[in-house]
Amino acid sequence: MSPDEKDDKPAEETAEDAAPAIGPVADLFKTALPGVSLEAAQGALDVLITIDGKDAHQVLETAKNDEALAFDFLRNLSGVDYEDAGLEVVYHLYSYTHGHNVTVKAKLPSQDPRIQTVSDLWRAADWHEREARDMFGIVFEGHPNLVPILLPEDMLDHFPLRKDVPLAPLEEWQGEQLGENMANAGHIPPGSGFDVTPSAEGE
Amino acid sequence: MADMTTEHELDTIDVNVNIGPQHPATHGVFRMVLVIDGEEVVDLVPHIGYMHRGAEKLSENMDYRQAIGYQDRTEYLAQFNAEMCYVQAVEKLAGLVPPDRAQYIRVILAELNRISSHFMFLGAFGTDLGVFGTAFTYAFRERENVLDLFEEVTGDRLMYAYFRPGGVAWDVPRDFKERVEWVCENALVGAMDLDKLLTDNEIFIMRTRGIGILNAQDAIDYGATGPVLRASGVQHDLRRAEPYSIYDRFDFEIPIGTNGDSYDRYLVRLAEIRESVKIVRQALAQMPEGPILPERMPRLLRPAAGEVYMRCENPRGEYGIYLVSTGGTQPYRLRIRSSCFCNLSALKHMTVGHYVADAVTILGSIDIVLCEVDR
Amino acid sequence: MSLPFLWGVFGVNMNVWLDAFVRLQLVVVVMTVTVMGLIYLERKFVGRLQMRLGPMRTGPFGTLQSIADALKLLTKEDLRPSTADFWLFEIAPYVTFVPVFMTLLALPFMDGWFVRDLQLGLFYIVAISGVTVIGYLMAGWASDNKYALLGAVRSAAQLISYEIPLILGVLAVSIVAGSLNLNAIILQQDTVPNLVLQPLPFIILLTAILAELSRRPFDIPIGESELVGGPWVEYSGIRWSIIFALTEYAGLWGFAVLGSLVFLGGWEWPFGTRSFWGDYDFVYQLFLVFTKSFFIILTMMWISATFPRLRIDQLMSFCWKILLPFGFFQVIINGIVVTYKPSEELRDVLLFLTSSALLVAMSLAIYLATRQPSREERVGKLLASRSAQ
Repeated sequence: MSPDEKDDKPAEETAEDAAPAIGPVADLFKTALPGVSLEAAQGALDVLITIDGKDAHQVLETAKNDEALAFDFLRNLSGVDYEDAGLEVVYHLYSYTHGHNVTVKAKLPSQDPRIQTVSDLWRAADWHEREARDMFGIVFEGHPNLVPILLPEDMLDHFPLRKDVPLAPLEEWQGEQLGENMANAGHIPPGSGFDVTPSAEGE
Repeated sequence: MADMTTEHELDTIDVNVNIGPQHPATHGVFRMVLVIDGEEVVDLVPHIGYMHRGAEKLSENMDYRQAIGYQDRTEYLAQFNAEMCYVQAVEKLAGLVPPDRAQYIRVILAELNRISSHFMFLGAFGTDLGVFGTAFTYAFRERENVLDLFEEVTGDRLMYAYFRPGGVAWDVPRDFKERVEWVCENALVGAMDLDKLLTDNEIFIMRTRGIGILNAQDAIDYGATGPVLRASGVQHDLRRAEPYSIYDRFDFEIPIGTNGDSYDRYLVRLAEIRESVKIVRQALAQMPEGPILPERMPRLLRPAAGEVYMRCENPRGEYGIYLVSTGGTQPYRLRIRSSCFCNLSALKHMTVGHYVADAVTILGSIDIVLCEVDR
Repeated sequence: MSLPFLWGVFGVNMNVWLDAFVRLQLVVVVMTVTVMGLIYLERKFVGRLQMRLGPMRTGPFGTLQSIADALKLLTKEDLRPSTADFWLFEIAPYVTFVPVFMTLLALPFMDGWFVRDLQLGLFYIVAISGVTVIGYLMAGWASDNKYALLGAVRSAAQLISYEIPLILGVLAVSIVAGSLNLNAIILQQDTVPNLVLQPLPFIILLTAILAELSRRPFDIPIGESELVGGPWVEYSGIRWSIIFALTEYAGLWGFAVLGSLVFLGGWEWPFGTRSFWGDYDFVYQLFLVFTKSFFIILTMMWISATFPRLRIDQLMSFCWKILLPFGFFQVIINGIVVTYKPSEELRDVLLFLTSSALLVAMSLAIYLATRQPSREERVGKLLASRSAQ
């Protein structure tokens, strides 16, 4: 099994021998949405369509209702924080009728990220959007019930998955103690042959 | 309040009943508030997040090999399936190709894990309905066999961390084939025992047939996957529709239900045990000797910059790993698309209109793992 | 008649009150030991049905487990919610247990040996066992807990409903015997037990007993997977054990003894009133009673271990639409047969035939009511055959 792209049906263009060919879904999008500016690229498994956050609802509505696209299954809706490049809301879609899939990435600014909800298109988006708001602070306009889902009900202004909210660094204090004095570790008596300082692993 | 007309219409008040978060029937720390009118459920408000431990954020601070452990702890009943999804996502970005033997080992262990997870469901579902103990002990006897086998292979009963990007951590014991065959035979007998105990039992049928119906259109709309979706009649299994790993080399069927009620969800999982045994036996026959890791494995993985959404068929549905890498040693963003999260969002739709006792049945039939819902 | 050794020790004429007191103490002691034995039996027996061993560690083969449980419960803190209604909460367990114990007073364990010989023994038993409903309601209301209230209301509905089949079951037999005195009913069964004459009321009685004791498949009030504990959810320690241990198992034993006396011939069948050992006949009579009641107890434990729980509406419709009409028919037919006073043999044969016919009719009614589509329709090709591949 090699990680070949599933949608890579047309022959690779010799002009760009480094970038793989983009699957046919991108063309379907371009024909269905002539007025919307979108960039298409080929990811490891899916076609990636990057749009602006303002066009998100229009693009996704077309993706669901257009007959050639017919994306009736919203697999995943997540937020990503690209720090200086802003936030992104990433939609992964699949079509049961055609069997193709696509990833739609909607770009948003870091300050006051607002995007229109898609919970009127797919009811699955309801809980996913609540989680994205919990973690990133993205406000989904028109959402019926945008209250915290995974975080406590009163945690409305702290967004854990943003990059400017770091995790506390992991402290290796147990390793230090073990290194200094193995005999006090409790289970390993001195002179047993196991009382050695662990060497720093390269991993 | 008492406004009794001659047509015997009583003016009643709806009662809020809080089930959970500490409750023997909610399969973990899950809270649902039922608004009931007499015995009938009028509204249901689920509250999740009690088990949220920040697996996604923690994974961003680990390197790619350390983050495998979080997959186990997120999906603690189908660990190998979760690990497989994650390591395949990393392999896609890093351009690693696992050798054949490792692929076969992965598939065998993942399918055995599917069997053990379905046995857990059968035991817990019987207990929810009141067959206290009998279904549980029958099911767990088989599950213990599988867990013993996993302990022989990985050293751990529940949290394996055995798969690696590129293959598996170490080779399987010498008597692996005989042990797996023994486990498979017992699993089939155990599934037959449970079939005889529950499937034709009139009380069981009365409690589950027609309860919690989810039709195909709603299932797709809510993002339900796995046995919940297949019981509603949609023919979709990721091992067939978007084959990953080496699943295209095996011949197995996809059990599909007709009504989308709790009885069908139970039947689909019971049938999937049999199909998983088929896959395991074919894999055992085809498994070659050879290395279990590629020859040139980097000491510290730095996958190329990019993103991938890898999806696998978990016992509960579609488990997805959305991995964004910027070329560093740690994932930039690791989003876990949890199957139970989406299946559970359909709970209100399935329960409104049924009785209080049915709410527990329906919740049991969705088969949730709270750690996966909350991550 | 009194026990021979008492007669010998205290003389022939014992004060009536002292005699009653001594008998009461004997019943209490026997009941306590039996209850502990039944708890152990259930855990071992049901454990075997579930492929596990049951208690094994406390004492040889776990025999001291009940004592260990009782000691543990005695040392537990006696909790009471602060907003609970004090007196109702405290008294509710006793209101539930005492009537169950009082039914034991009218049961003859040997020939003519009761605590008190009541002419209306059967009537007394079914009447007094109906008082337990009040205890459930008291507990549910006084606990100030929505779960408890829901459970109490459900259990009140279930217990009151299932009293009627209970009454009809024993009423059918008392019509055949012509008396409500338990000893007289037993004496009537010298050649053939009432089980043969009246199979339908036996089945109705067994089902009603399971429901009265809130045992699976009728344990919706104390549904362990839903409203955990039902009306007794706020109780802990020894107060809890009064319900779940004493009431349930004493009731189980009491009703099983009642069933064995009324239907299986009690201490009389099959040996009749013949005397083998003179004054020590009571040994084999006791043995018969205990054996028969254990047969009924084991059957009920077996049923409890196997079936899932019925939902409240299914449970109620089973009582009112199946058990009740057939119970009534049985009583009416018994009355007709007995009134027209055919000869002994003809009467017995008629009773057997009519009751069996009604039993078949009830089975048919149950089958039609719970009939599900055949396995092929339900399961389709999902589980093609039952055999493992």
